[in-house]
Amino acid sequence: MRVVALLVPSVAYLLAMFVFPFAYGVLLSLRPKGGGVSLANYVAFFLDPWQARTIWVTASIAVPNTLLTVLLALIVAYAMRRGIWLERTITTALVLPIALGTVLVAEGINGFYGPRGWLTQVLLALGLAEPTRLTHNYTGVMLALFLQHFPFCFLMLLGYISGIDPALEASARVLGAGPWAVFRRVMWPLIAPASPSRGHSSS
Amino acid sequence: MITSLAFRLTKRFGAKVVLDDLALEVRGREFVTFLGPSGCGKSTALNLLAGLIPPTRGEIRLDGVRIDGLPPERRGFGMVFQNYALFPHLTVGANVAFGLVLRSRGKAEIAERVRRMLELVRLTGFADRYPGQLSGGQQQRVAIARALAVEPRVLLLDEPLSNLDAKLRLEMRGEIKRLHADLGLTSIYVTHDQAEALSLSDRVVVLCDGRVIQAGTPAEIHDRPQTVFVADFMGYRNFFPLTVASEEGDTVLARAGALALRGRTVVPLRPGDAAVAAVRPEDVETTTEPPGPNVVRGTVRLTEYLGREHGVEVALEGGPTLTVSLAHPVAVGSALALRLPPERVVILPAEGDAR
Repeated sequence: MRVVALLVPSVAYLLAMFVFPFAYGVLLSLRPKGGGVSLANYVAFFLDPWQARTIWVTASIAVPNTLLTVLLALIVAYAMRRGIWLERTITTALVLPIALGTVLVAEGINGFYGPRGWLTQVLLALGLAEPTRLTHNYTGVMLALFLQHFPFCFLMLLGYISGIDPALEASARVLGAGPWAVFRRVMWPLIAPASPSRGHSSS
Repeated sequence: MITSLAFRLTKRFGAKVVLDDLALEVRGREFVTFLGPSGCGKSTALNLLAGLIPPTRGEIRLDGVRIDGLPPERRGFGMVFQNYALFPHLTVGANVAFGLVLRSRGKAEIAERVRRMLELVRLTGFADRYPGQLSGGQQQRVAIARALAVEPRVLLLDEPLSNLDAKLRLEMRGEIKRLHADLGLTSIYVTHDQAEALSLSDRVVVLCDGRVIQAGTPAEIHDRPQTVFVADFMGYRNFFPLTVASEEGDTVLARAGALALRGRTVVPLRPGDAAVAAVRPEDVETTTEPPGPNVVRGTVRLTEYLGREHGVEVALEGGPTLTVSLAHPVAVGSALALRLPPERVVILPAEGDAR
C-alpha cells in the first residue's frame, strides 16, 4: 500500500503534464471545424501537397540519418567495449558536440565544411577535389544532425554494451564462437532491445 | 581423450608480472587445482590456457601440438565461470546447445545431446526455462552441462563454487568430482578455497604472486607444507618464530626464550637457522604432563563456540598467543596446560619465500 502511495506524485505529474495534454490534443484533432467527430483533419493533412513534401523531406533526412548514426555509434561503442588506448580522450572528443551547444557546432560546421572552410581549401590546395557544396543543403543537414545525435547514441550504447558481463563473451568464445558469431548470437541479441529506442533521437 | 596438456606461461601487465614462468604438465584424466589468494595469478593462468588473453611469453602443447596460437574458439576447451556466464536471452536448452550449434551438428543430435547433458547434471525438464528463473546452483549446473556438451578436451573451472552458499557448495563439489571421474575428464580448477582444492584434486599447485610456491598431492600440501605461506593457507593458524637448537634426521628442536618445540621438518634445517614452528588449532591437546618441550602453559583469553568444538585463544607464559580447538568448553581466565604433539608440529625455514 505504501509503495502505491509513493507512486501517486509521479503518476499525478505524468497525468497532468503529459497524458492529459496529449489526450486533449488527440481529441481536438478528431473534431473538424465543421463539427462532429471524424478523421477529416487527418485526410486534409496527408492530402495537402505542401504537407506531403514536408513529410517526405523529414523522412528522407530522419530515416537515413538515424540508421547511419545508430550504425556508426554501434560500431564505435562495440569496438570500445573493453576499453581501448586513450579511451578517455577519444570519448571526450566524441562527446564534445553535446557540451558546445547548437550555435557553436553550427559555426564549426560552417568553418570546416563550408564553401570557404578548411576542408574545401585543403582539398583544393592539394588539387584533390573540385569545390563541392557541403553545407546549407541536404549534406549539411545530415552532417549537423549526425554531429548532434552521435554523442548521445554513442554514450548510451557504450554504457549499455560495456555493462554486458565480459564473461558472456568469453564463454561464447570458448564454446566455439568466433568474433562475428559472438556479436550475432550473444552481443546483438542483448544490445538490440536498447537500440531501437535510439530511433527517436534523430527525428 | 587427451594424454597431456603441457604449458609454460609468463604474463605481464605493463611492469607487473602476473604469472612468472608457470610450467606444468597435466596428464589426461588428471584433476589439477591452482590454489592461491586473489591476485596470485591463478585466474590469469586459466584465461591464458583458454586463449582469452595472450601470454607475454610461453607455449601451450596439447598432446605435443602447440595450440597457443589458436583463438579460444578453436582450442576445443570447456570453461565454467564463477558467475555462471549463462546467456540470459537463451533458454537452458539453447545455452547447452550453444557450442553444438556452432559446430553445425544435426538438429536431432543436438536435441539428444542436450537432453543427456541436462540429465547428467540432474536438470531434466528445465530445458525451456530461462537462466534468470533458476537458482544459483541450478545455473552453475547448466553452465557445467553447456561446457561438457561439446566434449571438451580440457575442462577449465574458474572458482565455480564461490558464488554458492555453503551447503550448495559442498553438494556441487561432489557433483564436479563425480562428473570428472565418470566422464574421464581432464580438468583444471582454480580456487582460493583449500577444502575444495584438497577434496577435488589429484594435484594441487599453490600460487603466490604469479609463482608456484609448492605443488603436490593434496596430502603432501596439507601435511608437508614447505613454506609458511602454504602452511598458513592449509590451516596452520599458529606460527612461532624460533631458532633451531638441534636436529636429528627430519625432526628438529627449536627454541625462543622459554618456548621449546620439537617438530618435523619438510625442508632441511641446521642448528642456528631461524625457523618458524607451525601448528594447527585442532592438533593441540590438553595435557597433565609437566612443562617441557612441546608442553606449554597459558591463560584462556577468549573462547568461541564453533559447534563441534570450541575455539580457544590462549595467552602463553612469555607472551605468544596460541589458538587451539578443544572438545570441551573452558572458562575465560582459567589456566591450561597444552601439548603440541611433535609429529603435528612443522618447523619451517623462517624466510619462507613470498611471505
